[in-house]
Amino acid sequence: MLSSCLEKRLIVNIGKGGVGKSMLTAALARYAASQGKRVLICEVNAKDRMASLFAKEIPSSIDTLDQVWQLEDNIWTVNIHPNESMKEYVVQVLRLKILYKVVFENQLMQQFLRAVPGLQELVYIGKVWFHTTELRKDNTPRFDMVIVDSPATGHGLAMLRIPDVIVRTVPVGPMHTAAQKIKDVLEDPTQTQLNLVTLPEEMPINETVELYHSLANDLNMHAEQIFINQWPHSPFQDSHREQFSTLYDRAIEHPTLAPWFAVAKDAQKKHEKASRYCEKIKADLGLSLLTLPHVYAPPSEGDIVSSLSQELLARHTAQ
Amino acid sequence: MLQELMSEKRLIVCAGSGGVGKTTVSAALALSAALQGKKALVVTIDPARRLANALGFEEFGNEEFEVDLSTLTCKGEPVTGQLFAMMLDQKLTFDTLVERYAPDAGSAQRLMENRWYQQMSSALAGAQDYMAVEKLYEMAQERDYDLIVLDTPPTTNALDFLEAPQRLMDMLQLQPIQWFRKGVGGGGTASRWLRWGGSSLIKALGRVVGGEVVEELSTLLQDMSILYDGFKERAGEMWGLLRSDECGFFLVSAPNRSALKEALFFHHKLLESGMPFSGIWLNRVRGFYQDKHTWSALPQQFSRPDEEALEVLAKEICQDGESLEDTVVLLRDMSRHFGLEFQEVEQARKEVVFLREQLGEEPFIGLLPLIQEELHELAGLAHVGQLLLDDGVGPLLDEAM
Repeated sequence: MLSSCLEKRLIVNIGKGGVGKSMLTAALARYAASQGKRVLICEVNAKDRMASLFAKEIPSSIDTLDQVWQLEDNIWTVNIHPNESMKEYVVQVLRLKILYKVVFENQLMQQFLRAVPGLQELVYIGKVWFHTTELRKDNTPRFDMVIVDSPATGHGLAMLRIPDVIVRTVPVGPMHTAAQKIKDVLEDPTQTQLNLVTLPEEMPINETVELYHSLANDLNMHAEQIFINQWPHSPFQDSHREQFSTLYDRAIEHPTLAPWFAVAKDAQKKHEKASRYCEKIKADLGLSLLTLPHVYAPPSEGDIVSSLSQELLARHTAQ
Repeated sequence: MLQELMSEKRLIVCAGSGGVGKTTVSAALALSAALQGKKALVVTIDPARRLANALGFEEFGNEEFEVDLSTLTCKGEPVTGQLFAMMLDQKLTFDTLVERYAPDAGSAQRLMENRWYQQMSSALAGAQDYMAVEKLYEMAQERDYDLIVLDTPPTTNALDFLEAPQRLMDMLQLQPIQWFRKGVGGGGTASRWLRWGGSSLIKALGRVVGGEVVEELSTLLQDMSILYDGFKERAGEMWGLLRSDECGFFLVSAPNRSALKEALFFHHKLLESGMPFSGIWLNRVRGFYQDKHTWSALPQQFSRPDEEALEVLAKEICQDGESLEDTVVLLRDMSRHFGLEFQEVEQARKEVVFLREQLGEEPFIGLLPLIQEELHELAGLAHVGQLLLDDGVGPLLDEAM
């Protein structure tokens, strides 16, 4: 159910590189904002993609590393960066502001901190956690929902895994305590929703099935929803399929029609395969599955996001 | 171009950001050398199962594996070359290096038993890239392959590959705790101040990550520093090999603007660091279609035909007894769909022009078409290999223009 994510505090979108996680993240944020939620999008050490996805110029007053800034009504974004978040971790989580200035701006110390295994990932996910639980002066949550555009599979998994690794490797101390708090939120399905993002192609689908199992078995995190991006359009009505194959051999010799038929044949093949993979992943994982259409030749990335968020809204209304 | 290149180069490195089909291109490059009668090896990091299946991999772990090419033919003749593949096990490679560069078996053992080492040896900054080049170097030194293709590790940022050895060296060189403890220099005021500063740094660090962690980690870093000299010397030789004439870099990119900008930046950095650049392959480029095994470029122009024109076209392909009306409906749908696809084709062609403008006339740009056939089988990979040998489908586009 698409609307189930509206009840959650933290949404994590994860999947392999190039499947459109950022697009989906942006579209989901728009959708949630349209339902009255105040949403924060977290990018992790990324290239400030949200600005272009929302067709916004980054305000000159904003240093995009680690500063929360508003994209549009009800939507904010932050790009989590290792050094800057380390500072926040020390200042806000451990409440050691003066200490940071004196100690952590020391270059050698920064190098050492970078070398501490897992600390960087802990700081990333710690920052996500911080915003998820962040309160305003009147003790109400600053954001209703935090959506994480997680790094691609391997790095994303490392980030989600780290609280558990630390809880097990470091028996006591501040890293342990911080990790435990984060782990509690991540593993609580009433607060956190994990979305798998993929494409309707063989390799991405297989990797998604694997990813689902690693998350469930190693991390005790159960993904709830699969988003399949770039669902292919069918080149003609289903009822014309037979006619198409009859005409194909003749048409492929025809100067004007040959490219149409060749392109349609590829598209048809792609469409059939997509449906097959979709059935497969449904059967394998039994999760709720939502497909989003391929957006043809968008003038800009922002147009893809608009088109996808309208699609989500239409699905919401249909429910 | 590729055929000449393969007679000059012994090593090809494929770089690019994740999700662009770099592993497939790497494997197809090695296979194309085998199709040419050479003995080739592809070293890859984490091939998707599909590719592994195509190559016939079952078990991985730093061993070369000969791919059975007996089912393939090249221009009707059996393939005389050989293809080997290897999947890099990073931790194993690191362990091997530790054994090689630790001064004695005891310290190697101690290091490998350290639980932090076990966690971090694969997660260390730059380790994966370093290990990949290490394997490439070892294979280049010790084996008699005509061509070795390295598929660089998947990263979001292709640049990591160039910076990897430096980052790893920085790490191994890091001795902050010792440095803080001992202070620096003699017994002057400065060193006393540093000692004081050092101990407060340690305390502060302890509050952030826990005292025990600081203690354990500084021991680990201390232990690892014994590797520094060995690693550094080796890294110098390894990256030296990458700079030599024997080696060529290919960038693999998707044909969209943001991917191309990244590829251009990487190209710039490659040249800056003195690495030999051989060209860019744009993968999954729209605008080409296949009839059996022949590829053609889509036309340069398209405008949606009106009803009258559709009827004329329908008449041209309909035979007696077939419904003209139905055919018109089908053609109308198809022309609509073709129109949409065509917009993307035009966009992709603009990107190729953009890349050419940015790179100048000289460097090689190869286009690989979007292939709908699946590549589970070796034959599929051989098809890509053949496309590579033909320098991709780009020349078709030039003809069409």
